[in-house]
Amino acid sequence: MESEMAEELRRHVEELARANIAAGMEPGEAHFAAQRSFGGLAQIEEECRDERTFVWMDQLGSDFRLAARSLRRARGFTFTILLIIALCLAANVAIFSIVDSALLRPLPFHDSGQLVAVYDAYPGAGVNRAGVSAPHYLESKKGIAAFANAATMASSPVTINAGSASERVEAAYVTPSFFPLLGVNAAVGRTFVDEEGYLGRDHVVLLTDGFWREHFNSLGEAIGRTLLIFNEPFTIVGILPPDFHFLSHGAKLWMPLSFSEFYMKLRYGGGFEMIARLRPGATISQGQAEINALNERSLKTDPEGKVMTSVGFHTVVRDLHADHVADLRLVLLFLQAGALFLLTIGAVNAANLTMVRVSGRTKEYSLRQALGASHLRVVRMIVVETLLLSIVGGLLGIGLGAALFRSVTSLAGDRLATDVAPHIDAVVCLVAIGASVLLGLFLALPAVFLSLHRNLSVALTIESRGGTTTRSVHRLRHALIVAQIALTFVLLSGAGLLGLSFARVLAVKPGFLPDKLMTGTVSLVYSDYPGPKQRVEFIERLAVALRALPGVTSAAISTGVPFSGRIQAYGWAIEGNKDSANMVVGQALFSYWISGDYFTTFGIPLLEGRAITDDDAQQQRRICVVDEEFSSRYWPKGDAIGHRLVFSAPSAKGEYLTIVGVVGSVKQDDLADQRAHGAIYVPIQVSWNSFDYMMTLRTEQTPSTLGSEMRTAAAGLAPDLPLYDVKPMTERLDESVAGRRIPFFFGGGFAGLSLMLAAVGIYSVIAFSVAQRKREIGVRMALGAQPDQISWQFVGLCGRLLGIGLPIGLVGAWFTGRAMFALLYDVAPMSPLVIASAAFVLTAFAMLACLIPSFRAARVSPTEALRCE
Amino acid sequence: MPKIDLPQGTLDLLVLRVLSSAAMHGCGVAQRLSILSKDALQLQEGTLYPALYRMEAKGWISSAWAQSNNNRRAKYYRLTAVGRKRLETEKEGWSRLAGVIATVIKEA
Repeated sequence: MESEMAEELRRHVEELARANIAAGMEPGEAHFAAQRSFGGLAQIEEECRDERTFVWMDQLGSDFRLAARSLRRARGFTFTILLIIALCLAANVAIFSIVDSALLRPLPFHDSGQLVAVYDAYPGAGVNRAGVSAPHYLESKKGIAAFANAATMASSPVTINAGSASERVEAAYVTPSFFPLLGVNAAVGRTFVDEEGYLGRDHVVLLTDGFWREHFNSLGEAIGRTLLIFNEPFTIVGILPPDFHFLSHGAKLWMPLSFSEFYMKLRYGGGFEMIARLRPGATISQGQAEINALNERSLKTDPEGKVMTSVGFHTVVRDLHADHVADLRLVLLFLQAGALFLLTIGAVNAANLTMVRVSGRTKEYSLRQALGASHLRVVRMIVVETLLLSIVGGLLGIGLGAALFRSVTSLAGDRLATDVAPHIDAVVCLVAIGASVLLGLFLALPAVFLSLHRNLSVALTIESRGGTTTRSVHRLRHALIVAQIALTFVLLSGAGLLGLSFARVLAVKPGFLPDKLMTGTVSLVYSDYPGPKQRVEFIERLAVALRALPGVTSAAISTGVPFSGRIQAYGWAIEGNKDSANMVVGQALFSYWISGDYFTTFGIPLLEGRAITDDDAQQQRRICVVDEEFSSRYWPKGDAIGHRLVFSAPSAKGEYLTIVGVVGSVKQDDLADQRAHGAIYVPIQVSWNSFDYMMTLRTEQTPSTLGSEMRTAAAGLAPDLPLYDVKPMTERLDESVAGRRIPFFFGGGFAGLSLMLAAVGIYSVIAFSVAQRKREIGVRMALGAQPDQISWQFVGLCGRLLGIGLPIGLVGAWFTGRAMFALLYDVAPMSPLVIASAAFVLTAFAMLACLIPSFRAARVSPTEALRCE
Repeated sequence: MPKIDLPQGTLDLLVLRVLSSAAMHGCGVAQRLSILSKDALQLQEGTLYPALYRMEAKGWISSAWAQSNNNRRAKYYRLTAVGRKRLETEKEGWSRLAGVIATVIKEA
């Protein structure tokens, strides 16, 4: 394929040769002479290309300088456009980076697409997700052909003892198959070997890189050293790589998981987090089918099988990544959509402003064309200017977006973390720059359209102030404003829905009185308190010490409190509630082991019977108190008292507890949770092996002031006992709604920004309209029109734009509300309150924006306006 | 006669002058230059092309492929409006320059 240039040159040489032949030369010589007199073909071709490039680059350079100069002169315009582009792109960069690091990037493990999460569910008992049991795990590991390997983990904080100080550290227990399954090798030393998964040989530990640096950095070699965990020596066998993390677990120490006899006998329960790796070629549905078959087989022969089937027991196999981000996905996608909306609004606004500027320069462009600039040249000049604007704005936006991203992840990083250090990808930056380029091209469109006049004389003689507008341009600008109004309304209503949901969640009554409550957790160590008796003694002494603190109205100790994450729902069976096979039918209840004064401290109302007292705990009475939700479900006539419940696990001692009272229900860990759960309260040391206890103090003072006193009281009883997780109850409630606060923060930000943009857009349209029609206004005022009439005409224009934009926005808001349904709490998707407020706010802003130029119109002096420009 | 190496600006002027009478292809321009200069000007014909491409990029001339007189395909160049104006400017500038130089040489 010969290029045109090469062809042209070749033909010239052929022509010369033909002339030579005609002059009598031999053909061979003729060609040779022709070549010689022409010059080197390749060299000439290169020179031609170079010349073209030089001219082109030269012109581009002058275009660039011209654009920079002209933008520098129009400071207001340049600043506004840069601000709009920067802010809108920043929002998108921040959100997209979050989406990217949370949703798009695969898990940082070998072949992570083959990893699955496995969990049990007992929907009939109100438990939609529970961990697997030890027997279940072992059977699946061996018996599921689709699984190449499986592992489980249990996370639990541990107390390490370094000298006299003890420290509470996040830790995880994993089966030895865990690290090989993930494809993770120790950076130093080794991970676990299979033998270490058994009791007696499991006192080894892996450190994370961070922990090693913190605790061992100055001591050099750590492998082989001993770490005291719960006062027992563990040998350090390896250090994990610096970037290792597993989903959002923050464990700093990793130890082998060995199943005790208790857990080996517990077929349903245990709460182990299980993962598996699919065999190459196996699919998730295969794994699911095989597990279903395995369950079916075992349920037939299992004595508890009928009970479990009746509560709908089944096992779920799910892609690990998808499972981990399931909650986040919807919220993030909405936020990304919101950010894109904002970008559209910004682009429309910028286009509008650019059109104003360009229409003021059509004379200039026409002149240039008359002076010989080709259409292409004029187009190129315009594009260079808008590209310069958009790329600079884009770079600013990336910087702003990075800062926004960093602040969001530092506030809420743990909820997002699939990555230890979420960062902005190079991909995101490239996409952002690409978007700026596209934006620049988009902004050039109306300008290009306006500037390409065929009829130069018309353009040059237009009498308006240096510019020209046709009706179609006016219509285009108005259409853009209508679009902005509609989009802004959608964003406003979306933000309003989120905000109202958030407010309604905060207003939910938790069922207890969270103000003036201070909580803290203490963990006993087995070696110091091996038996229940020692633990009970300690708790009694602790309760006495706490109640003696100044400012404390009442104090209670329990295995957990609402919103602490420590309270689990366990299966309890109701006596007498047997089916035909004489099996007790179970129910999952949130289970609390409490000291006396628990209900008074929390402000939970006693509805029937009596509360639990310290005496009950001392006498180890086999009693319990249930909540209203549970009692009204099983004993709607109100005769719950006297019935008996038993902890539903085969290895439990099978002690029946008599119900002695009914209290009000509380929200367990989610204010927005409207599902009914039941709760049961048991005196503190009866039949439960707990080492962690929470203290709750009620005070008239500010709760946080009690923190140090709590520590002193605990330290007075046991100096090396770490006290941790110390915070006021209200802080726990606040943290529980963080997942609603952040989307609202973003949504509100977008809505606010788009309001500003809409106001700017409306202002500019009205102001421009006024400027365009100055003569007309002057004439009318000279003929006796009142200033008010003039002003109201322009306000009327704004009103008309609103009148078209709002209904369109309403339709958009309807769709958005429906799509957002899953994110809302107690708010109808088309909540009249939200819609009315959004309309009101938007109208107010729009009216305010148009007032200034409208009333400036009234102050146009007729003589000045009529004077020819 | 020895081949003259023309400074870049002057070649432009000559080409513009040649094209001002008619559109022609590169070969034709070279021939016309020879004729007009009464054979005094004999340049390496290839050097015409970088100049042609440069002037086209600047918008002084435009080009189009067409059938030549002996029925072959050739690229024809013509002067644009801008180019015509450029020619006038260059001609004026050149004669002024020539006049000044002549004056100075005479005086010295």
